[in-house]
Amino acid sequence: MTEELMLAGSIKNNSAAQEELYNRFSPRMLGVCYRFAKNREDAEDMLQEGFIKVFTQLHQYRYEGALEGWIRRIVVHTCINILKKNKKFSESVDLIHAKGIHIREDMIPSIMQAKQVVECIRILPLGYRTVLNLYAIEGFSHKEIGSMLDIEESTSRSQYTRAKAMLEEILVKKNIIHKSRKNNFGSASSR
Amino acid sequence: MPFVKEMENNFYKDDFEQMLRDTTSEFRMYPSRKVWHSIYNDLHPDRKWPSFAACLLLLTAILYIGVSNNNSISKTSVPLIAATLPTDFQNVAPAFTSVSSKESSAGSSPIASASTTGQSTTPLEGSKGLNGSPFLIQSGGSSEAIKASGTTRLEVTISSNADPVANVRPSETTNASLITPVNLSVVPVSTFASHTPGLTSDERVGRNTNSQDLSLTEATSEKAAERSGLNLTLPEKVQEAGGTLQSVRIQSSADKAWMEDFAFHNLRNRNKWKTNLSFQYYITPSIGYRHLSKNNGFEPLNSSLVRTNENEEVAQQAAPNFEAGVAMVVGISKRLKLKSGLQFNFTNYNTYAHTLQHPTQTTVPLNEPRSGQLHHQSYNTTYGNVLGSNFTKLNNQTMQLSLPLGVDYQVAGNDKIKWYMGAGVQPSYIVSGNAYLISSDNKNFVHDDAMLRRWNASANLETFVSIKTPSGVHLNVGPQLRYQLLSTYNSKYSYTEKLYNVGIKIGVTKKL
Repeated sequence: MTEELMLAGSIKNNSAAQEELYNRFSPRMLGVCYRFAKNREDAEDMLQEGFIKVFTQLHQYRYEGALEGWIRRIVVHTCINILKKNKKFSESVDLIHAKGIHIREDMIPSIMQAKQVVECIRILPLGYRTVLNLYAIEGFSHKEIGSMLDIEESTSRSQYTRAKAMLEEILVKKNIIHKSRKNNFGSASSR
Repeated sequence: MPFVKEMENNFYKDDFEQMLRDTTSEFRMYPSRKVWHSIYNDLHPDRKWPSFAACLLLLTAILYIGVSNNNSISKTSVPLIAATLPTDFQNVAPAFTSVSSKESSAGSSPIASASTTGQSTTPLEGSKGLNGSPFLIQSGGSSEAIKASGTTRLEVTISSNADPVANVRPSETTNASLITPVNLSVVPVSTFASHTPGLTSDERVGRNTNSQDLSLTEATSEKAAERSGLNLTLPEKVQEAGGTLQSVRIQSSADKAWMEDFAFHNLRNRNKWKTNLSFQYYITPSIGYRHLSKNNGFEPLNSSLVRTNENEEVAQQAAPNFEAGVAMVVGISKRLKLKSGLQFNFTNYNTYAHTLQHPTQTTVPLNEPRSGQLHHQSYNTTYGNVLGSNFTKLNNQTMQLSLPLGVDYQVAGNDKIKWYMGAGVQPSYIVSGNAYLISSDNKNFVHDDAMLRRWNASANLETFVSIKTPSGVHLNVGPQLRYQLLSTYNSKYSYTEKLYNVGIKIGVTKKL
């Protein structure tokens, strides 16, 4: 089924087209949700909410840019909205609560290859993880993140700096990068 | 470690964000089908999926798998090889005598244990692999050594975790010095037999009649595994060292990668049930009343007291009732919850009677159990159905134990406050109670508890608001209507009494 047919069918509420669209994009989108979520079950809940929004808003898609990117944005926003409903989340994006967190070796999971990196990101504290996901991977600017998470832009920057430092520490402990070369890495670019 | 090198290069060539983006861009996870079903139900509320037929099919499949698995772990030996291998192969497989199948109680790590006892010829029994396939366990290379060792018991453990290890332990050896390294291959029989149609029978069993070597040829096993898409052939050296535990580790990196990938994508969500389960404690104070009707064409003997309906023939009053219980609630979808538990019911209503100075004889209308014909049975009573100054209140009460089964549907709400509609049935056993029966002439009441029906059932409808407290406990409050489906009295009595209650259900729900 071509993308056009799939889109047209999905907009007309054709279940076969909707399932095709879901099957095509859900694995990657679940990977996105998993980086934000506490566990797989929460990630699946986020995915479900996200795809319901995708299908109900699909008629608004203007064929500008890749469909995957459009879906991804909706899914990410859904993840953030779900996280924001949790009281602990708003505390975790507050810098005061995020200080003094240390990563122990036994906290680092042993999963293979690309999953290693995702799992390393997932062991970051919730606030760090969310800002890092949004900034470094999803490509949002600190200003956008500030507005999405209801925090100051400067808070987003600080959170990201700390998140990055912590992730580097984890990656070194995991031997994904070497300690001697870690310091060569420049400061984060600012969007 | 090419991956690490590549990632390191990316890390220092570009920037940190680029490295993260590149490494995570291909990361995928496969959601369970229930996610799609939930989405589908949301998008097509008129066409609920799965349908009843699909549910039935699923249930049948689960039952079938359950029964099949029960058979496989029973202690009865099933010689799988006998059906799979030619007789002459069994004759050239003297090293293996029996392999008993057992699975861990968790059901996650299939274990095949093999014992060899010299010249016996029963080759194998069933065991289950990761995909439920039975394994062939073969000796590769040095079968003679096993034969020479007299009685040797080998235990082979195949674990389904990320780092699978096959342990071979000579736990019982009469001549340990004669033990030499043995190669073991573990191949799923069904995979081998059914998924490799292109193989000849010789290829399937990897027969080598010249050397009496039972091992699969390397080419054959790889070929079969490649076709089946599942490579579980794990040839390894087993070293005997004074009877201590020996391990056979998987050498093939492809196998390891596959296993790790399998384990990652099939992580057991240990909290899945736990997060769906919650306990509910509740109490429902209510007002209980009854509705009385005749269950045959009988007319009271005293026509002067006959009124338009039976409920006006006695002076009766509603009374406080309650039910209290504990239930286990299981979320079967985002909005739907099933619940069941144990409940105590107290039902009551009052009738007013005149207390007679002396016992008087009266009759009660009863139905013949077989023919259903009406007859009047004599009783002595001190209660009259005429109110005067000397009246007494008769408590028509029962105490019941019931096993309620109900369903709650979330109509609306958010994380903090939700609105539910619920319904259920309550099969009940009447532990004790009082039954005051109206006499045939409506002039008296007769106390006869034997007329109470012991088993009854009620249905309830309720709606409630569930409020989440900061501690995570949900407070539930809402009205409930309860109706007794069967008469309070058994079928002998000519009247039918249905109780109904209107109350406020108050409960707390706590997640496990």
